Amino acid sequence: MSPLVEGFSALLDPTVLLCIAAGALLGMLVGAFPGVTATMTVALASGFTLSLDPLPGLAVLLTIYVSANFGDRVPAILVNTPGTPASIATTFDGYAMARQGRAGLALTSSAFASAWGTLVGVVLLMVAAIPLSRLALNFGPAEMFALVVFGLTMMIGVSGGKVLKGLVAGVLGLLLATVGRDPITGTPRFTFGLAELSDGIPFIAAIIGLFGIAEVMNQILTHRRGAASKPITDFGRWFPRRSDWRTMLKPMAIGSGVGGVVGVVPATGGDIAGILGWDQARRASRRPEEFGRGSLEGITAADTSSNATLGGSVTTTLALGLPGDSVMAVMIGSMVVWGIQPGPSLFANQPDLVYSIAGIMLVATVLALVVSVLRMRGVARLLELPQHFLWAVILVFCMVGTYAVNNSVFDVAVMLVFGLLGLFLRRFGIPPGPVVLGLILGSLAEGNLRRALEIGGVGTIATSPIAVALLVVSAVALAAPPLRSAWRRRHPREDRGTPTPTA
Amino acid sequence: MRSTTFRLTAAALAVTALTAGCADRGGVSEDTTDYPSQDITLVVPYDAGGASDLAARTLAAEMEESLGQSIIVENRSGGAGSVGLQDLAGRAADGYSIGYLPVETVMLGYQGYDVDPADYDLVGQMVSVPATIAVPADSPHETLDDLVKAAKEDPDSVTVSNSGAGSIWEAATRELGATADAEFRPVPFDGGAPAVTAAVGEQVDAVVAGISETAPAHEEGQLRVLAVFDSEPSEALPDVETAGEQGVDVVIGGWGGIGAPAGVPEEVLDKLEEAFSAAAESEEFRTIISDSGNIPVNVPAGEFAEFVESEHARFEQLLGDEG
Amino acid sequence: MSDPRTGPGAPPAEEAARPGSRTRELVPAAAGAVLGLGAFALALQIPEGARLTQFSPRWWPEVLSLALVGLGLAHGAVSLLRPRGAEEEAPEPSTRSGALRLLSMLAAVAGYGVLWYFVDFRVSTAILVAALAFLGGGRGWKALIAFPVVVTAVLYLLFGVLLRVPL
Repeated sequence: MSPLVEGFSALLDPTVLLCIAAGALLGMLVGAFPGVTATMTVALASGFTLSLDPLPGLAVLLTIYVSANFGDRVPAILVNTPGTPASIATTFDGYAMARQGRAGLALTSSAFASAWGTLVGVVLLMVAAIPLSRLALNFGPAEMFALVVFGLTMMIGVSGGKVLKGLVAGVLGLLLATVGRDPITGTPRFTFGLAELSDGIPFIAAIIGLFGIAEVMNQILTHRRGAASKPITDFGRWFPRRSDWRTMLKPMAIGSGVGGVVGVVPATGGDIAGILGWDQARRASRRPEEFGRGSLEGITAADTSSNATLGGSVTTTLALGLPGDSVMAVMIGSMVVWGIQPGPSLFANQPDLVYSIAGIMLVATVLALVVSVLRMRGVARLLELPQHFLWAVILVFCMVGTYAVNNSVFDVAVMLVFGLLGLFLRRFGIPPGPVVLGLILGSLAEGNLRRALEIGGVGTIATSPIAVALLVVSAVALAAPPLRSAWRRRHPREDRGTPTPTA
Repeated sequence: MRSTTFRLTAAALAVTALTAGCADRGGVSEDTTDYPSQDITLVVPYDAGGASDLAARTLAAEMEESLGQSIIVENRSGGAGSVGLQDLAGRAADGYSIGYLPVETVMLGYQGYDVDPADYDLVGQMVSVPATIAVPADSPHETLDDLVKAAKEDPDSVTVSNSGAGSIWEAATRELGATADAEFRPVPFDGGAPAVTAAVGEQVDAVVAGISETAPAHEEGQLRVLAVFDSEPSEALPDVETAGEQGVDVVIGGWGGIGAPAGVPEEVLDKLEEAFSAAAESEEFRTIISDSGNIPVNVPAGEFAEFVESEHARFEQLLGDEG
Repeated sequence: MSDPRTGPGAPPAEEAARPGSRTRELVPAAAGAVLGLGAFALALQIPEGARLTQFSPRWWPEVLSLALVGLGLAHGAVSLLRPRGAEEEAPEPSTRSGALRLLSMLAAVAGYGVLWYFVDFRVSTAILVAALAFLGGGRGWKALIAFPVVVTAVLYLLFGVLLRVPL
């Protein structure tokens, strides 16, 4: 008990609280800018925080980490542009809700879901860090490959009922993910001699293009003179009603479970977790057909899940000394310089520090939630700008934000090309979700499969219980919906009263 | 902050560089006696936040003091570092553009990238990251000799993870195999941390990685470092023998230094070297580098140039047959 | 900077103006199949690794490109066989003025890429924002002067000053 008290009371230092406040403002701001990621901000901020004491320094960095995952929801919901990759799945339902005049509800419920997800993750960190990190160590290439296969079964879910078109888009995404150097031999593939492509297609540029730029281009293309189709001025009600809370309960539970697990697995983060949580909630939902068309359940599950990874990543980082995601990789660098060595012994030698870290994240979460809810109305005002202002703002902010990721004009060009690709997909009714999923999972799938085969042939996968179990679950996930609908066709009477599921 | 004149000059220089390419090396007809009279840009060919970035930024902060001008760190990542290195080579050789040169400077040329160490004037080397080989804590292999024996008995069966295809650590694995006359199976991962994780999780038999990545896990008892591929034992791992002491004479690892586009005027280069040396010697720099687990060094330009040349020749042998 | 108007798999979208329901299925099916074939041809030229590995670097791209061809053909076949009129939620039709506006905005963005090399970020960005606002239909000093200055100032403060991005 005493390390808990000690760790938390260390946060009462005004300097620390000030640092948390500064981190929250910076994090929310940069999170809301498409392109600028939490990783980049933490990396740049660590240049300044190294001169601080460890605790205030950690307060700044961890708070940026937490609050960037609130700020990035705002552009995802309002202009269909994920502020960071973690909010890709937020766009699925958030933007649809905004277009239906429910932007207010989308923003607040997203903030509450995000806060809930973060809290669950942090509680996991406090109670179960060591056993969870053991679990993480079991995820080698074979298990990662099986997990990714499970992720690929979501292709159908994110296709929005257009299965063939969705699969075409998904395979396109997987194919785009092969651009770059081969993960095992280093052979260049589809790079056309461009050094910029040898690390693959810049992912952030691609998603900003596919979602945000494509949306703006579509609006410009279909704009009618005089029609003055104001985008979203009607925000609807802001606070969830009692019935809304009841709807959000189940997806919150599913999202926190999915996000917690994905967060603990090394090298996977909020982007995958958001989509995975969204898809699991869709499968479990009684109204799966609403997912992707403005479902409150969808946005809740996505945001809970992607934020529940935060605690998991911190857990792996602190308990194993191995970075749980890219932000944590940067943070380990700072911790080491401060003389904090993350690893199993940290929990034995400095348990109060672990609780301080958890405490910082809790305070940051509450602060980010409060700021989100208070400030939403002001930010949402942005959308009341006339359309020509809004287009210019989105285009220019996306361009500069994308440039800033790598200081690269090439990335901006990629973003525009993917904007045109996204426009093409949209005009022909192909969902962009599977393309993004393919891009995220493609290199993980191939790299881990081939790594596993290098290590010990097919036996590596076949002898791993986790991998086999995950592959079985994937097969069931693929086979179950068609079987179920076939069964329902044959037994129509027993089906009465339940809404029809999608394919 | 940066002045408009700087912006305009930089833009003008960029245009010059674009039109003239790297052809007019040394043709900068500027009065060099008042150097540096404006901000200096330091190109880092990696993302912000990594160990190289940290080393470069720390050094830059120290160099600012003796040069009396701001040094602006510019991260240009991509292409395994080649994007930033090419960018640096194409800039004006006036001393206002310098860059962080990693070991990849001498490797990428053999891996299909357009990078040549001859394109740079060297200022000095400041950091050294010896390679280490480590096994999981309950591995049956107690010494480097055990591991080499296992690889000899059953060639191509001992799996050794590394941070990526074409990385220095993969090259180190091959060098070890070639010297010990044994055949290891390198398994490239997507970054140093996943490679170390795979060894901690016992998915592979061993890992070759930089000392800063394996030493913490060694202290935690998650890994056992069998050998350091350096000429002398490391302060970070005093109980671990070098590979040479165990009869396998391999010295290999990552390193980092500062360079400029080739053709910088002599006086400017002298001033840079002086500032570099003072910075690399500073308490602040040495502490941060050794705290992060790497070895701070201060190798002057001439010696560094010889070293780079020998490394370039070595990797021609090691990587040249890859095609 | 490459020409942003030609991307892999992104033919000029203006042609898609008000496509018939069958065209809307066949065009992407054909695009998928063609893209798959192209990728397969390119995959065949990937050099085999010098080192022996379980799978060659070509394997995965080849599998995927063939899958893309197969899926494209299947999609085409299904949409030919399926009765017409089953199409739901066609996108809003594009307009001629919208297409022109999009092209001119893209041209402005491309021009910006060039301008950036020669002129300070703060100047070139303000010009771009003004141009985009003008093309979008904004008129008057608020749209063409105040708005660009504010946007540029915000960008410069966040990126140039706060994040120290070399703009």
